[in-house]
Amino acid sequence: MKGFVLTMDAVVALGLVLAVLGLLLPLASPNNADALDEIAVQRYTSDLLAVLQKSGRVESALAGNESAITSAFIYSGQGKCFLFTARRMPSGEIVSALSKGGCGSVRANAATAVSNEFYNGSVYEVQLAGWLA
Amino acid sequence: MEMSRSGKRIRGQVLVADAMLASIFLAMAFFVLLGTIDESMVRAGNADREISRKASLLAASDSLVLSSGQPRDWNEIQVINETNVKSLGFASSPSSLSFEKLQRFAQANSTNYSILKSVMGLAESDAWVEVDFLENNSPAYEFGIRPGENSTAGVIERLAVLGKSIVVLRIEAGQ
Repeated sequence: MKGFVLTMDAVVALGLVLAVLGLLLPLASPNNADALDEIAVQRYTSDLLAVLQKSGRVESALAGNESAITSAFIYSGQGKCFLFTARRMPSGEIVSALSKGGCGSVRANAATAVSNEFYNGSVYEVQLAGWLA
Repeated sequence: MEMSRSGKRIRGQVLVADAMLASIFLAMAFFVLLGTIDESMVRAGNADREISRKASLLAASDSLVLSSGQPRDWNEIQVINETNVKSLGFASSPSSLSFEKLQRFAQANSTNYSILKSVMGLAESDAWVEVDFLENNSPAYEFGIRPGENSTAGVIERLAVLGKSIVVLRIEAGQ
C-alpha cells in the first residue's frame, strides 16, 4: 500500500513538472517574428511620411488641402492606422492633425517618423504615427 | 510458518504490481515528454524559417526602395549575373524610384529570374515583386513567380514615389 502511495505521488509530481514545462516552453523563446512585424510597420510609416513630403502632399495639407494626406491614408489599406501632426516651429503650435477614420487614438507602441518641412517662409515639424488596428 | 510464507508472497506480488504500474506510468511520461520535445522542435523550426523569411524580405525591400544598387548603373549591364551585380536597388534617391531600373528589372524577368532572386537575397524561395499605383491599385511593374496559395509566404509592402505618383512596392516570398 505504501508503495502505491509513493508511485501515485511520483506520477502526480511528474504530471505537474510536465504541465509547468508545457507552460514555460513557449514563453522561454522570445517571439522575434513579432519584433520584425513592428520593424515593418516602422519602415512603412517612415516610407509614408517620406512619400507624402516628396509628392508635395504635406505642402498641400499646410496650404489647407487636408485631403491630400487623408486620401493617402485611405488607400494605404485596411488594418493600418496613421496620425499626421504638423507643428509650426519654434512655437510648437499644432497647425494640422489628421488621422485615418475608424482607428481611434494612437497606440502606445505606435511607430513614429519625424521630419521638417519648409513652407511659406516657416519651418514645420511634421510627425507621422503608424500602428496596426 | 504457513501464514508467514503466504504473507511474504502477497507482499512480493504487491511489490511486483507496484513496479509494473510505476514502469507503465514512467513509459507514458517518457513518451509524452518525447512528443512535447518533438513538437517544440517543429515549432522552433517553423518560427526560425518565418523569422528568416521576414528578415530577408525586410532587407530586400530596404535595398530596393532606398538604394540604387551596387553598382549604381546595374540596369545598363547587358548580361546580369551574381558577379557583376552585388545588390539591386530601384531608387534614384531614397524613396524615389527610377523608371529605367524598374523597366530593366521587369525585362530581365524571363531570362534572369533565378539570378535576380538570388541577388535580392531570396534564393531559397519563390519571389514576386509588384509595383502598384497607390490610388487606383493598378500594377505598373511585375516580376517573378507568385508563391502558391497554400505556401507559407511572407509579404512586405513599402511606399515610394515614381514620377509624381505614390506607388506600393510589394514583395512576396515563400515555398
